[in-house]
Amino acid sequence: MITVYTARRVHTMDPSQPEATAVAVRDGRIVEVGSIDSLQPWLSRHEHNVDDRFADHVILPGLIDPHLHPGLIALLLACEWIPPESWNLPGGRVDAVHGRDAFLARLAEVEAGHPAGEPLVAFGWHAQFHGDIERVDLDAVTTDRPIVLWQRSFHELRANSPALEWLDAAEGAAWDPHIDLDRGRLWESGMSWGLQTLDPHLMGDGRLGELLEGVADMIHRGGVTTIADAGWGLTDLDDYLETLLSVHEGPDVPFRQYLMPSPGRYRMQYGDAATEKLTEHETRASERIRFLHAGKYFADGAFIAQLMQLGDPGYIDGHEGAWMADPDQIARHIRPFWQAGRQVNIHVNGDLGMDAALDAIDTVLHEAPRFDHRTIIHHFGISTQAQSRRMAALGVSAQANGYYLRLFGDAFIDHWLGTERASQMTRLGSARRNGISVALHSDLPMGPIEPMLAASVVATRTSASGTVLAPEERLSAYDAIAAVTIEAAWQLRLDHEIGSLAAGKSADMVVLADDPFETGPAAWPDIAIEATVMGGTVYPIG
Amino acid sequence: MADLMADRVADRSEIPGERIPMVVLGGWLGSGKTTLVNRLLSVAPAGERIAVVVNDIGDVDIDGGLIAARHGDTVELSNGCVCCSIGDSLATTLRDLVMTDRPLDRIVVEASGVAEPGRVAAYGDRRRIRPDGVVVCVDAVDVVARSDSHRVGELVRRQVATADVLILTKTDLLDDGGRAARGWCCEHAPDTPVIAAVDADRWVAVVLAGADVDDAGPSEPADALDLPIATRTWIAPDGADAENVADALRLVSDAEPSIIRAKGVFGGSAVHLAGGRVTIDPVVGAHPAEGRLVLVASPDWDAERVVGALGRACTEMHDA
Repeated sequence: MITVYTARRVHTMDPSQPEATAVAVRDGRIVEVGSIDSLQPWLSRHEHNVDDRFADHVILPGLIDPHLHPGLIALLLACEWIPPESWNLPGGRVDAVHGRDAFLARLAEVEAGHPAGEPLVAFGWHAQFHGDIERVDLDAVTTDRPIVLWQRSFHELRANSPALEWLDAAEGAAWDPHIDLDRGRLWESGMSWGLQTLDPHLMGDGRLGELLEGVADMIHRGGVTTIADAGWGLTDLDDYLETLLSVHEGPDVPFRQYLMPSPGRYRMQYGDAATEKLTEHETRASERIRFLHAGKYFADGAFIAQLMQLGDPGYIDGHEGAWMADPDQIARHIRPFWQAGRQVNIHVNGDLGMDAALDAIDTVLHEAPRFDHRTIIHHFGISTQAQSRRMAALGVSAQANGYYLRLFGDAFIDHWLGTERASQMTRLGSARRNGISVALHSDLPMGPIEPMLAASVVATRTSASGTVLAPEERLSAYDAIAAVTIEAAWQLRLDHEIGSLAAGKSADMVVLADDPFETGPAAWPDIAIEATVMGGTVYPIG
Repeated sequence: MADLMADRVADRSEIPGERIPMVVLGGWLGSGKTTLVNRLLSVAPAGERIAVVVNDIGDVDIDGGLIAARHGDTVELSNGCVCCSIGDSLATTLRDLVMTDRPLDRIVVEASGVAEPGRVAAYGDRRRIRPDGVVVCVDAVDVVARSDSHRVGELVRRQVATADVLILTKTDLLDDGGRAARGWCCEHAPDTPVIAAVDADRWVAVVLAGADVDDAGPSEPADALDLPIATRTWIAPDGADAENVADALRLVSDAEPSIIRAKGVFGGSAVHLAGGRVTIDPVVGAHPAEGRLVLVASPDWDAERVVGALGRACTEMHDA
């Protein structure tokens, strides 16, 4: 039985037939894309029905988020949210809060509505947007229950006095230098101390499964039909995989999930048995939980925490970034997977990190040349024009968190990098001019899982204040949509299966209330997502 | 509430009892830390119960005959020592090591190759543990090149600057016996003793001595060098700037080939002599050694003649 979905317009993201009005589907795969008329050779010979519920809507290929962390966002969904930007959470939309007074007022409101006797853990505080908030400020909200603020960039907790008791912070301070009891600060490894109490509180008693169901809802409402967990896992890899297979598998789950292993993480948990365990895990792949023949590696520290490594002239305040791995050893790290024909993915944020990563790729490429290696630079924060050309020469692609430009562009201009370099962050226009594949990710929970928003940001390059940052580095509307569909598929080595609408491919679609090529990129975040289709099954939204 | 917290902290910090000394072992990847740890575990003095915390226990090659028990990432040795991985958090690893019935005489923490050992040492300044020095391994073969790397040079220099003792390794692999690396150490950590020895057992003594460098071996630290080299600090005349000092150094070093390297900070700029060339580089932030030039030379030099010539040359430049 063939089902034909008709639409006001179908944007196929396949350049051979960019637009259509009907998609014929059989057994989860596309039979043909075209119009009711052009489909007649098929329809006249096969039993079919026409499903016109999307007749007023616009169909695009199912959106793809090629780098996110479902486990981390699950943990955060157990928290209250007071973020500096608006988020679409399973319980509904959470508005952005800016300013110290507004933050404290919102916190008091949340506290008043929180179940009596329960500790309150709130995610989203960020000094840049909410000012400094310390123990004394939180004690002013209440000392009747623990309040913990979990910082937006994950590096720090702030606690009131009962929370310091609850987290056993005084004991922690006896062992860890990164706990300041007076100010109620637990940062870096001090935060790990606090998480010993927070993790079981947030995720204990099998709550992880329930939280991951909320994550599935977020993914669905973003219009996303395929995700990749880059460096998958939360705590124990076996336990986490078990939970995923029970929660994110089955006909009700509207997306496919690809797991990208981090060899470092495997080695940390399994030691010498790491390779064996990875092979074993790969045999457990299911219909919706699958493994990428790839590995995730690291160069420099996080963009969001100003720990990326910058070349000259560095940060305005002269502070230094951090290396997540010895930059001269990246070639040694990636070599085993490179030589085994696996895809190499490197987390890179600053231009110095980029040099280290490209040097490593250059090295392994000379040792063992490979065609079609599709090595990906993930995050792609600050880079130079010369590096864009070098990436092109080495066959390396860019996968960016376009969203950072919106949230952090202004601050990076004012505080960290100055106007020229900060404006040119996420240099995607240059990448495209050099013929480099460009995809976008949310890195959820670093950015919200709203690919249409990410695409809008890189196509407009407007910061939160409305400033346009280096319009020369914008993506065209087509390239921006491609970055969350066919280019993301190509980077996952899945472009033969998903990412565009054409005969033989998986019937994965997103149904929009409006045509993004008519509204223009600035309006994309506001276009209602009506439904997704994954493997031929319709999953309505709302 | 606030007062209650303060009392609790005070109580805990005053728990009586001997604090366990903790040595941090730092140095770039490949500088010899793991070799040292291996050696330390196998030749630990009888009765000395040492806990060694490493980044990755898989890298440590423990003699199978010494292993008494292994649970997870922790290996108990028959000589009373224990070796474990850092895991998620150094604080909890240290707590788990200390809060058992196992008596410990000493803790050695191996810092990651890209870490700043001084930051790791902060974990030692706590209720049950006291800091006992930072020992940093320096790879004589590549430290000079690495410290010039635009990528990691700054971090390599900071690692060395935070050390209480430097161990110069791999000197036997070099034609100059490590002299250039030795000079580099003097330049970047002028007041820090450097132990140059190819024998890992000698390194073990340095680590076990911790901050008490004098216990490290048979001789005085500054003279314990196996490489013939001499150093001297020269104080520039008041008002001399980087240009004056650089010009004076060019003049004097041309006439005194015994000078190998020199470095100092004057008026916010660093003056270097290396490879026969004098250069001036900007310095970010305040520098503690402002106004001092550290000279490294071969041991047969005439130090008085050199500093005298520098003083005269500098005064003339300045007056001119």
